[in-house]
Amino acid sequence: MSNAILGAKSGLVAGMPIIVGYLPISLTFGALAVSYGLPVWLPIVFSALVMTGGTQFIMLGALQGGLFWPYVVALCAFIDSRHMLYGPMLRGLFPQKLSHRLPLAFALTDEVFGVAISKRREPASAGLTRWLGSVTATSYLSWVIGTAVGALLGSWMEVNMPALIQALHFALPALFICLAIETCSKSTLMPVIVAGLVATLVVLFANTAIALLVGVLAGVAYALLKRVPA
Amino acid sequence: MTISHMLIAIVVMAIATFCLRVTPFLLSERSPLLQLFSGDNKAINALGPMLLAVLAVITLVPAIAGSSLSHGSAYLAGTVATVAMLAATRNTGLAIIAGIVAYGTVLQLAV
Repeated sequence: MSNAILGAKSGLVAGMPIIVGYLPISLTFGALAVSYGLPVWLPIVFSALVMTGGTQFIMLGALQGGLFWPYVVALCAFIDSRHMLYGPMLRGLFPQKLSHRLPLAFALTDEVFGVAISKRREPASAGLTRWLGSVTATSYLSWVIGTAVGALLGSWMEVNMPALIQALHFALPALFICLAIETCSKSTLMPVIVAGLVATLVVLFANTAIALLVGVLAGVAYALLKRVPA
Repeated sequence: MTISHMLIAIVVMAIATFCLRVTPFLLSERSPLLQLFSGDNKAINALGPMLLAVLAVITLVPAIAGSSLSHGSAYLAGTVATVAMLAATRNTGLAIIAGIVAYGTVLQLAV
């Protein structure tokens, strides 16, 4: 068996945890969108084109609430700006040809980054490219298919499986908790704790809408003042 | 909001996301932007985890603060189960499922 095929198979196995994580969340996303009265195709198109997980929920809720869409898009793009961090760290893992790089970069989500970072130091090879291709394809398909199933069965599940739908509401907080813990390192722990504590206080005693900005600014200020090592 | 406005927002967001993910691969190794985001900058280095932590807070805290005791307990159980499973397995998928199961179980027990 060639290295490329072995790489593809190994990528499929590495992508399994992503499927397990994505399915309940994408299912919830599809069901939630339809419960807002949106057509079934819209959340599917949303997931197929954007594929950002948490910010899709934020966008959906904010747009549904009637917020000015350029503001919502700017806020979500700001939140997703962390994706710019992933490319530089994984550059060596990507193929040299730009036409091969772009489709892989398109599906470079938090979870793909989390799995791919383990191969960061390995030398470039066709097997490694196939491995990354497998991981990204697996995660992309599970996200889009999960959304489609949620959108198609959402109304039925709400009537026949209300307990499951209710339990799935925890999928999003659970995702953010996991991502926050997984992306946090020893050197970034204190700024993250400061940002989280300040955001909690703002949510409790002021306004949820400004908690993101105030919390992050507090964390950045702490990082700059304390000169946290990179 | 109309469907067409929502579709425009989705397409613009798709372009923005694509640009965020692809830009580092289009820049030269010496690009100042790449240097800024490559982990040498202390504050930028912490930005990603900070945003995620604050998003977790924004999702959880209002839900817990504004809920009944049973709902609050369910959120607490879900959070503990998620963190415990993640610590035990380092598997995000399993941690999310553990959180959902714990949250749903406590909710059902409280009914």
